[in-house]
Amino acid sequence: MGQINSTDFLPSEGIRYARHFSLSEVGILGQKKLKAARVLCVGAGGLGSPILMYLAAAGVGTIGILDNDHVELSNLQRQLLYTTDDIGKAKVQTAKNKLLQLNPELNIIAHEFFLDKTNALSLVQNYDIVVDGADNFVTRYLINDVCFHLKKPNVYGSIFQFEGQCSVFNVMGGPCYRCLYPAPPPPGLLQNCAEGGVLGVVAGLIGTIQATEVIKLILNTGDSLHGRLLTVDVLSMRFKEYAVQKNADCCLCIQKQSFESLAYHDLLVCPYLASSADDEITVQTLQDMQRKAMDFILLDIREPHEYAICNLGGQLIPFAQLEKKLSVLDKNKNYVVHCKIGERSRHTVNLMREKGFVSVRHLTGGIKAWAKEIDPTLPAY
Amino acid sequence: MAIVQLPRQFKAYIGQNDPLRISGGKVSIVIKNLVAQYPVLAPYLLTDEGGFNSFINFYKNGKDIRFLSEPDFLLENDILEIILATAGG
Repeated sequence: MGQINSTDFLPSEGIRYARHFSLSEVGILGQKKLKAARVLCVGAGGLGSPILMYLAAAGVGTIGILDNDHVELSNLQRQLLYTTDDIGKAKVQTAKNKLLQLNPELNIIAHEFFLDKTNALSLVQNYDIVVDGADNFVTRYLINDVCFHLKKPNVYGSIFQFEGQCSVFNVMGGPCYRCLYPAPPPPGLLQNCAEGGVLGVVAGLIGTIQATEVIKLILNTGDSLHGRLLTVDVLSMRFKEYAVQKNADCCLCIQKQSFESLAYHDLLVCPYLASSADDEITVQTLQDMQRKAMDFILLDIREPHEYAICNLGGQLIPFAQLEKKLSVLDKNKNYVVHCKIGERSRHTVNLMREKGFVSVRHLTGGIKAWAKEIDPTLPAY
Repeated sequence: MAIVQLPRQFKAYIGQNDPLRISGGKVSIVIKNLVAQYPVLAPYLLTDEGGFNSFINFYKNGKDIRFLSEPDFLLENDILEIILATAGG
């Protein structure tokens, strides 16, 4: 175990990390490794909160926080770094202040911007490990690709509704995220947490597992999750594990595609879901159409429990039942489709046109935009 | 018939919470039969060309079918799990 050297730790740190010093797998040497480690957490939200809090508490010496969002009231159900007083404040600065309150000896670096192809390489090369707490596929693929090219471990976690997944990629020549999922879904096809919801504690569960994996990597102890995908469904409270192997078709691991050649705009724009101004109407236009009593049918494609929270009086046909129920609708009528934020409805425009509907548009920003710009009394969710 | 376990998101789409029993033998046939029974799942599972989407993985009795050494043939009571990429954070 050795002795605590005054040049390694302050007297207060000797007390702060006493429970770590008692563990043979950590000890003084391990705590020194933690202090010397540099970890970048991409995303300071639901996953980022427990990741950052546990890494700071554990004494990871340099922690980078990357995010460009501001705290919103709807974040507080799961993002434990923030309190009601923080609403409207930049997340990274707020998180930095909170983490320094927790552990003042750390070097916390706030990166108040989003990760993109132009900044990813120069930023990530300053860190030993990247933790993926992002909330979108583009950033997740970017994290994976830059980690692959810089040979940095990528500690992955994602959540949706009552389920979570985590793994560790790019360790010891092991598989990468693209080996597991070669390509993302077309934008808008799958619901995100903003649309589909997430049980707050799932973020805590998965984020805490990610923090654990980071600490294990730094300490070089235990069995890493690399080569394994861990999933959890908290409603059934079942954890499952699946082997993750290098994919023989992986564009990175096998085909060695360069970072420069990877195009991320393709992930943002999908021809299947491409929409033009002709496909969309604003909430102001919809209000105008209602005032003028124009002849159109408003379709609400959210789920019944969402409809019960708030609605615009539209005809409810949940997205999942749409294909079956389209046959009873008149294809020659004018339709305006809306959902919560405009993603599912964008998908619906294409679907209905493929089925022969002549006039279909969707509401930009969904009912959330209506609540913000037209009727603030409408319950937001 | 094989037992097909869907992600919770898909269970909501088809209004069916319990594992499904689908016939077919080969995984690709089982999935085609699944989609025939529940067309709403088609854009999630299959490409326009009829292949599997690359943001979905299929596990036969816990093993990724992409890496099976034996044919991806499902016997009675074999479990086919469908795992979906998610991006929430």
